[in-house]
Amino acid sequence: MKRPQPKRTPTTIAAWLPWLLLLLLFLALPGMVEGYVLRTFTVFYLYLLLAVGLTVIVNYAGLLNLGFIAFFGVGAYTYAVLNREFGLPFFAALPLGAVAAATLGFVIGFPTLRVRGDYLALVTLGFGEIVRIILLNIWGPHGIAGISPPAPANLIGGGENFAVLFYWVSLAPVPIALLVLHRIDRSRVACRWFALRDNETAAKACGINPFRSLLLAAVIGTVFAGVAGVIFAGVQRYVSPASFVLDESILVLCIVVIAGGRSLWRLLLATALLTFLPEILRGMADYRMLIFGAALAAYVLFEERWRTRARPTPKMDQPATPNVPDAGAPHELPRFLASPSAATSVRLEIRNLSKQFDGVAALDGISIALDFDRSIIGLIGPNGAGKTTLFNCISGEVRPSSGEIVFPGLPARHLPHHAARSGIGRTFQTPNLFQSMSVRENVVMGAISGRLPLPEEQIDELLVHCGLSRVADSGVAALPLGTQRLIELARAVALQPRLLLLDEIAAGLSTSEKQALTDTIRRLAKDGHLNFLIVEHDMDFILPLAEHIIVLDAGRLLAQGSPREISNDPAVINAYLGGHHAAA
Amino acid sequence: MNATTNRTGFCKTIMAILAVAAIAPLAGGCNRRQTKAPSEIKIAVPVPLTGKYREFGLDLVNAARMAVDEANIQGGVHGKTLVIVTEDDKGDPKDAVTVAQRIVDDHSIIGVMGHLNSGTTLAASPVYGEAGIAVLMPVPTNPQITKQGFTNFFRVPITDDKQGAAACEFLAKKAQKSTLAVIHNRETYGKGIAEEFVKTLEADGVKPLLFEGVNANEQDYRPTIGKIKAANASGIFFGGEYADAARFIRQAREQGVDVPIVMGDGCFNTEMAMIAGDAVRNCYVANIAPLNAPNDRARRFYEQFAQEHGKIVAYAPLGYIATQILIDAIRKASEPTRKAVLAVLQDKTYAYDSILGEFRFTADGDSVGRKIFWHEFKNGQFSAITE
Amino acid sequence: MQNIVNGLTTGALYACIAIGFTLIFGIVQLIYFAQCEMAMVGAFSFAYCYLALERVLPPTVSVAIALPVAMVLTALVSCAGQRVLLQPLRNAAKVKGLIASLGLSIVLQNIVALWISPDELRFPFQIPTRWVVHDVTITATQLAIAGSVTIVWLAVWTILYRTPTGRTIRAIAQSPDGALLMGIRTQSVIGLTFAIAACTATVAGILMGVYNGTMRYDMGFIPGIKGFTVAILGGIGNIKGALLAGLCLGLAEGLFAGYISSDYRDVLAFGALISVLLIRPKGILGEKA
Repeated sequence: MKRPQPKRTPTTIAAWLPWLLLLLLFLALPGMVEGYVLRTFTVFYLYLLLAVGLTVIVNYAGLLNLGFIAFFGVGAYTYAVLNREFGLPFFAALPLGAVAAATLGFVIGFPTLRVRGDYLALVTLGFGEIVRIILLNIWGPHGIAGISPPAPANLIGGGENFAVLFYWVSLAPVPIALLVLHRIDRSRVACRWFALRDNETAAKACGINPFRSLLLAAVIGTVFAGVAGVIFAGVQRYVSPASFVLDESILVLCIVVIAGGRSLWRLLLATALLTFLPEILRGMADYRMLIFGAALAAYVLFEERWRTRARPTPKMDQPATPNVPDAGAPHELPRFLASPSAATSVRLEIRNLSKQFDGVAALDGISIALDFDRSIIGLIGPNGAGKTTLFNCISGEVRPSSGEIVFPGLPARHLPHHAARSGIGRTFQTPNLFQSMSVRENVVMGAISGRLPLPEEQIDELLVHCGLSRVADSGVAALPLGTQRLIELARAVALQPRLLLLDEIAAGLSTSEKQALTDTIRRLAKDGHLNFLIVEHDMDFILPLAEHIIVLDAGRLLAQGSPREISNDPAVINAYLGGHHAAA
Repeated sequence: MNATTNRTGFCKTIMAILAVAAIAPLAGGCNRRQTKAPSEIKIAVPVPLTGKYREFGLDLVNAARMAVDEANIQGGVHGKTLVIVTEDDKGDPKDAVTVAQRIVDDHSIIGVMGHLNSGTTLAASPVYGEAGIAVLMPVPTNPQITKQGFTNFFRVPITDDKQGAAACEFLAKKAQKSTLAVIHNRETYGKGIAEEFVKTLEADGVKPLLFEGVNANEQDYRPTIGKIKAANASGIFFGGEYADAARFIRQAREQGVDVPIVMGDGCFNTEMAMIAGDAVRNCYVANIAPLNAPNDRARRFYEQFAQEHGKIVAYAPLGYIATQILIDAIRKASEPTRKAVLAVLQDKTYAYDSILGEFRFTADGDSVGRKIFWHEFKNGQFSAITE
Repeated sequence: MQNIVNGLTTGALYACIAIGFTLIFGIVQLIYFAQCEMAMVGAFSFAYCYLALERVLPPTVSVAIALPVAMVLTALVSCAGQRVLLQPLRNAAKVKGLIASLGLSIVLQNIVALWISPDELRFPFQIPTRWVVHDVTITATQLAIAGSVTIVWLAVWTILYRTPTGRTIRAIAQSPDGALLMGIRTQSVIGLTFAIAACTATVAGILMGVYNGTMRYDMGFIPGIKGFTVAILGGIGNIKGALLAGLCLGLAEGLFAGYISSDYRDVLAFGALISVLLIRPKGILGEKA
């Protein structure tokens, strides 16, 4: 999978030239060949439109729509019925067909995508059959014949010219569709899809709403199908349910799977292969579906094998010295931190929060109010005290059994992306980085869905400040743990959060790494106007760093106060050293 | 973007140009068929040669070949040899359109005998219509085809509406008109013929007790059968194909419904007895072509066909007749062109005496006065019922 | 009343297929499309086995032999499919596993269609006895279906909840990584689960064949979709739910088709699926390991 490009890189003439040549060729075709070839190309263009739609769904959003042809049918029947009942002309039907298909896409996607992405495959499979049955019952198995062509015969000089007319009508939307796809590929929406596919937890922590993103993809795909359907009805002038069967959905899926990835060229070639080859090899028609089925399975298999074998992505540089990020001279803070636009004091209130897991109370009626103003607050407690659960409740990964969390801008029952969008950033015990992206791109993802826009140079400044500039363009997988943690931190900072939750960020680091981390966090808090709530086991790390400490034990608030008070509190010492709980 | 993309971009352009350049002549290089051997007259036979209808398609092709061979033995037409060009429409409307375009592009083809399915014919009809080429339909029974306003379609068999009406009359003799149940399989043919059946009933002022559809591939008809039982129907008409019919009959008998069941010609297949077993008692099937030759001429055809090509699947006689009519029209035409052939067929007084009787065409292209042939199941075989 | 009997029968069939689906989905978190085809493969293997044996052995014995043979054959096919296709893809995006199993499903269908027959074939094993009670026809087949599905359900339940293997299966379903860490050989257990699911599918396929009298290369398709719907309705991984939901759906369909309209029968199942996804996404009885 190629890396996403949130920046708009200008495309040169050389990249456009091959497309232009191809377009010229297609434009010149009617002058060169007979009606039969034109008809074949008409079919090719229709399949290309369908493939563009389905590729958004499958290759970008990673969903599977097995009833795609039903949306095609909806578009076709929209025109057919409106034309027959109301005499609606072709060009007026185009947007209507698109809307009809998109509405159905929304209706199908809404309940399904809320639950799981892979249910969409099953639901659309059923939907495809249902649509066929409904079409069959309402408008009859004869279908609808005598649909008006896009332009009447007398306008184009006789019926023999229909083949040419249909050719133009089906060719026209193709460059538009490809352009749209090209734009989508470079858009933020695509970034979000790729992030979701790469690491859903991290994506949500960056403020990406998975449901909305995936639903958008599902609907965009169906729009293309609807338009293609209207054209189909106008070109064949006869629609019947027999044209919208599962085999067709499979065919388009095959095209899209073979095309794979994001290359427009491969999409074009795959469509050409699967539309022209059956024409040329008419004798093998019986084996068509068998070949498609085998191709699907085989292709997916081999692509995976190839991908796992070629793991180190050659484009990204490997870090020269994979080591501690630049320590020493403090770098300048990025501007958005040094002079923030919004107020930086914030209050986090937890009211009577409880969470049960199958009868075990991880949190038991915790109530606390924390006022942050460039503060670093530590959260400690023995194993099983409920620290991570509390974090997860705040950031939305887990829904509390009772009680509430009050934070400006945070809705009552919130999910991780809500929390991120209202300004709660977090890191995870095991870094959740986007494996397919470079360090820089990871940090950029934090900014993409953030509350406030973040210009590019400031991201660079952030990278420099966190000591990540040397590894900015490398892949994340091979980097040491300390660096990975820093990347996650930087990404969370890019969110421009009001509160940062750090979950055992120092675990597993060397002493010098810990020291560098302490300095960074302190600087971010004091000069960068950020607020931190840090879960930590390592007393040597947290006690000097935090101004205020909260202690949890067995799901309850045990004590809170300054680091010195806490380290001398007998109850705390008891909890750590005595009883069942062993010290961290 | 960068150098690599430039290079790959260019490679791809070259590839694309080559690909299109290769495809265009390859596909349009069916123009090699247009090398007019001046001593040939071509007619096209577009039928399903692959897919689930291929046996029926092959039946038609064989019948066409027989007709053409006979004509050629007698010296051809206008002194030239007749040649058949077969095309495979796969039973799929989309393919039918492409195939039709191919036929129409080849100007040396002056007549068409086909297709097999109503759906494919409907889809392809605008193409033929605009090209003004005569199309003899051996099997498509959907009435809509000839109602579209084209003047170049000529139908050999009875249409579904007439078949539906005939079935109604037939069933009325065996059961009570007021208590009939009509079931169909929701496909083009099945529902069409069922609707015609109902229309005939209603023209007599009677409504069917039940008019229901079931999925074509549905395995379980029991709910519908339950309704039939509850309504106490005295007879059933089933519009659909033989596989559905077989299952339906079997389950109906199993559930205790023993009334006569009448079916359209789509169910005419001895496989039905295999699947349904002895449940086929009291079942009647129509066919648009008779199973046994009704006269001597026909018998000779049946025997000869059986000798050369094996058992008739279902529609060979119709294919034979359709081809013969086409050949006859070519023969009577002033010159071997599409226009002239069409003119002959469009003449109101045109008539052809075939192995199944005389054929005339209405203004729309339907044939006049066709009959339906009824068959009953006996000992796992069809046996014709003479009326 | 007749509709109720018929509806429950079809419901039992759906439940039987759903058990297999729910087992597989529970353990590998994947919609295994090819499970529909396993029912078909099971039906065909049984049919041909039975035909071969019936010539020399009495029917009861033939059935007794053909059944396990069919099960073994289907299990082999299913496990082979899992081994070759799903295992290499277990770490890849979900979509790929779905596509691969879809491809397998298509290939199996077409192999049968091309090399055996694309047409309807008569299912050789029939139980023609029937009784009429108060105007309601009950066939021996229906009783056989009810009996078989009960046995299958009990068998699966026992395996899952009363044997160590079953515990392992549930463990893997709950946490694959945890199971690995505990030293469980996940691969062989997953293969075993697929085999069990294949056996339930075989029974379902055979019962379908007997009930409908016919078999065809795509006989598994629609029942498969309904089976999966039932599995989701009842809660993924919950076999009690699968049974209950299956019976409910069958009943609802039968009543709907019988009293309202059979035109839109399939829409009912689909509508039920959408509604459940909207209202109670975890299924009526909730998800379980």
